[in-house]
Amino acid sequence: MQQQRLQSWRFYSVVIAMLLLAAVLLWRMASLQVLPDADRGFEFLQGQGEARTVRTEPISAYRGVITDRNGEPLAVSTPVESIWANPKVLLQHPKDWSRLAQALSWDKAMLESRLVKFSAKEFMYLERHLPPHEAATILDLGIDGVYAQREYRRYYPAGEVTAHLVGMTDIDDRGQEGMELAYDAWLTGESGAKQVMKDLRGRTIKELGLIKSARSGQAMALSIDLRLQYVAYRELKQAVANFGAKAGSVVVLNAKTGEVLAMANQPSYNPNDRSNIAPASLRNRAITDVFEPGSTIKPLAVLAALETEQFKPYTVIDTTPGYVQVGRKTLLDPVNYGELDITRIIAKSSQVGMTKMALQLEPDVVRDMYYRLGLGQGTGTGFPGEAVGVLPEYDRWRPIQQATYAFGYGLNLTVVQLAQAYAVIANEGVKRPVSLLRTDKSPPGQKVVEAHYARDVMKMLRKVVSDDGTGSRAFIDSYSVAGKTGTAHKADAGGYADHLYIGSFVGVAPADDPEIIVAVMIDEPRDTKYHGGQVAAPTFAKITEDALRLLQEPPHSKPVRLSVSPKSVDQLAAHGVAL
Amino acid sequence: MVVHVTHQVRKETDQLEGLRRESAHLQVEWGQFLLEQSTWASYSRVRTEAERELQMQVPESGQIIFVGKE
Repeated sequence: MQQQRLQSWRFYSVVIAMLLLAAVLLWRMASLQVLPDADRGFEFLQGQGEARTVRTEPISAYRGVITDRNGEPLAVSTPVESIWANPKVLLQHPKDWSRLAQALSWDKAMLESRLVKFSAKEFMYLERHLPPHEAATILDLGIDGVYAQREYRRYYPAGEVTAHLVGMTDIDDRGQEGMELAYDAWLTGESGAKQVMKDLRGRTIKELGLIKSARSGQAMALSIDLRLQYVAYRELKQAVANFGAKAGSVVVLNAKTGEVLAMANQPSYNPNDRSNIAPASLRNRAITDVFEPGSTIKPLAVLAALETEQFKPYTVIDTTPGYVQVGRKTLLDPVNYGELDITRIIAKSSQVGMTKMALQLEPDVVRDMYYRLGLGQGTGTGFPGEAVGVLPEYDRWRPIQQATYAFGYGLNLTVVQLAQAYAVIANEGVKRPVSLLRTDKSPPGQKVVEAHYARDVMKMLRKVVSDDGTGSRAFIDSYSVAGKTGTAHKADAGGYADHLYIGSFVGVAPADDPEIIVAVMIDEPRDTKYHGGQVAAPTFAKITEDALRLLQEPPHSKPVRLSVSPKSVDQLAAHGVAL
Repeated sequence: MVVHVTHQVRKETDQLEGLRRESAHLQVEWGQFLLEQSTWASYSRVRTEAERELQMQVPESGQIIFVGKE
């Protein structure tokens, strides 16, 4: 009995011990796998596991490419590496400093002083925007606390030729100037990130999910044609250098669609090398700078006069004796032109003729026409810093105000506005917004003037380019052109300066069926030549001739024709020649 | 069966990732070639080379002959 009881006591104690052990085991299992906040419980373990397998991978996104209308790249992002350091770590390894300084081609003292300066920080750039292979040689030194970070750098293949229009980005790839700034949101790409699981050898074995989706920057096609842009830039640069001018601008517009085919300015800068950019050279003068146009405005005033039906192209005005007194001012022609009709007033650019015509019109007529042609308003480019110009309106017009309005003083405008106004004339009175982006179909125009008035003015503009007109140097052998010269005194402190001028020429070609408008403005030519017909008209002629040839416009003069038999046409066609 | 499919999926995910990396790399290279091309083929360079190396010139309007069908 005794023995049996003893046995049963021992039996139960063993059972209890076993149960206790099982309970401990269960508790441990539960604390590892189920209970949420146990010390070193399942959260900790899972975290450790993931720390060894789960990685966050960046999904890179690029800033969009900017191209010209034919897809030639104007701004491209390429990856570069920026080397950065953690000063706290690097300061603990002084023996690596000389190797690092050598790899960076820095002075060791400089590295030390910068490390000390940033010693409280955990991040400092050592070198930014290195080509990937140069960055790799630095990283291969294996120095603790030195890391690389991928960034993108913008390159501008056309350099200074398109600098003003395309603009540039800052070192962090955000738009700073020009179209880079205007369409920054459209161009900017946003890098994303995703979580992946990797195995021991670094192979990706499972995609766990997207943390943030990447958004690539969108490409953008500008309206300019790089070939025309080169021509315009080359000729403008040449002209500005030849005449010792301070600055200059050229705008080439597509007459039919209002797209800007070329827009060049001097002085320019190289956006790929920002070390020495003068602030004055940054401005896209054709859009942001206003000037008093002088005589290039006269055709627009004549258009207003024709519309009133008070004047016809053949209406004769007597400009004898070559000057006219308005208020206290005397307005002069270079010589006494005698009797001139309106057409010849434009061709000779007679100040007296314009004044007499303007004084016979209702005062508001001319201003109203300028406004309808787009002066004093935005042109629709959306370019940052676009100037709208000043087109004052008066309650009571004094005669001198009326007169100066008609020959281009007392108001100001940009080269683009001037080109747009001429586009209306070339386009039989239809005004279209100016576009810096390629438009596949031309935007609907707005009829602002009756077609026959615009055609009359076009005929006058052709006379300007004839032998006895002021714009004879704008004449081109191969194409018919029409246009108007302008020479304006620059306003200085307290009045108009005697020896500072702006020479300009705005033209349309071919005159029979306009394709392009070319506006040239030369600011402060330092030569004895300063007249628009001398400084701007030849530049216009060179740009226009090259531009039309590049646009494959058949020449107007057809001196020699070669006829071919249908058979040889077929043969040529077989070689890919289209007739 | 499950083990086999899981393994297969892992292998192919890795392949996909590799291809994505390659495409990113090629994109980078494309950008660099694009720049190289536009540098060598820039219009101003083509013009100076044509004039200097090949003695070419823009024809005067009198030198242009039109070829048309009869």
